[in-house]
Amino acid sequence: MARIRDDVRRLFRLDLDRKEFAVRDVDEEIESHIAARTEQLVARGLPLEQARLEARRMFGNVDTARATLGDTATRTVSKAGWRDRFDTLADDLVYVVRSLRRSPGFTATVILSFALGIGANAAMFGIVNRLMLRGPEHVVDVANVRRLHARAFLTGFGDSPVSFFGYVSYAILRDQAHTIDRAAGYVGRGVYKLGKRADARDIAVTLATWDYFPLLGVRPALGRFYTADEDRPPNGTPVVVIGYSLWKNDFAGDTATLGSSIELNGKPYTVIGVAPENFTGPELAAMDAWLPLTLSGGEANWWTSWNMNWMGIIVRLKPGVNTTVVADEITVLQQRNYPGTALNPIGKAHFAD
Amino acid sequence: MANDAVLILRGTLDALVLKTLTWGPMHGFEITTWLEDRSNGRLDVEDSALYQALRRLEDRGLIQGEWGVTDNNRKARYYKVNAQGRAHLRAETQRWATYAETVTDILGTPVKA
Repeated sequence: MARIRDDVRRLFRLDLDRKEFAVRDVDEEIESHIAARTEQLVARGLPLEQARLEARRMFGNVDTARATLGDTATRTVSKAGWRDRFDTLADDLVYVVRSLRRSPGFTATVILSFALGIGANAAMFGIVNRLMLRGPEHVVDVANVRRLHARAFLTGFGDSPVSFFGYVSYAILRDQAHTIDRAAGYVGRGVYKLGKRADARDIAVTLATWDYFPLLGVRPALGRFYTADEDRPPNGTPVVVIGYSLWKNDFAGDTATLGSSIELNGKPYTVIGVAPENFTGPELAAMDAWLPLTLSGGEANWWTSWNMNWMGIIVRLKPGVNTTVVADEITVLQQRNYPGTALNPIGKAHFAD
Repeated sequence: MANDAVLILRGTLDALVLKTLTWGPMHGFEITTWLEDRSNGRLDVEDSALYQALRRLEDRGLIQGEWGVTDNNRKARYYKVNAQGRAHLRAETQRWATYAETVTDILGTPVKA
């Protein structure tokens, strides 16, 4: 290798030992950051000396950082070409970030998910998989059917995502919202035992409000779906709509299944209808049966409680209506109808206990 | 630490930094500010944590750093995400979405009556 002239080496700092170079870089970077933070604080009105101290304090443990960063830097330099056996990104040590800013009181901002079938949180965090799959089967005009999500800002808890709501919220939208066509509630991941004793097997069950079916636009393959009368609080009627595959596999596709009684978790339900083939509701997981949501009630006044939040809510948008407008209306309706102002110390208005 | 500090995994912070850099080359302080703004003040990452994340990402060859000069004529180290970094970010984003959905779903399951 050709020898590099001394003055050139000095110019490009090649005269430094490589290790030392890396550590000095780290120091410089930290100082540069602290200087930028100092400027920011001065711009916010802090006197210079105080700003400097605060900037240093905010950086965290500079010595630890410097030592760690320095280690990494020297390790990189001295072991160039050698990769650590353990993947540092797989090191799942929990790291604490500074506190959240708190907004006083309670406000809910509502967003509507982009499309059904995408995971709730994927949509909420703005991560949309552009290679998305086909929509759920038998849902009419699926682009106008959305899952409701909200953000609740609660004192002491910061910002929390909300995807599950109480019956009370669904009822408010059903009865008072003008910017949507309709709303429905459902609990999609139930597992029930079908049949008795040794024959019994687990099936996938959705609990849904009666308006879930008309909202989605689905029609039964056989029989009918349940009505508002069969899905009224405090307790619905024990009827069931079964899935097409279940009907074919367990009931031999016999039309006499309609009107017969089946046993779910030890209780009898009358089969009133069969869903069309491949219907799974607004999500994509296979589904075997649908029950009126009000069958899952519980203690007194569950349908007006703000502390029982276990349903997903879907809405059908009115064509041409901007989703921001809808979200705003939903936010206002929720806030207007929420009776409390003070929050109990551990309660969050929109989470199940 | 404050009582309301948020726990996040190192891997998550790394993904957030990668994502930030997809908006263009930035130096450490810009990344911190960007995350704070973007999260409406919810994310206030400790600076030393950020720099450790940058070091990890650089070690992994997912970002590249080089010295530059800021608008205020201060020397600063700018970081850029490269193709490998973007690929890693895509994968992490998908994993995160699945994880978050699964946990939320279970936590939202009602107690059986």
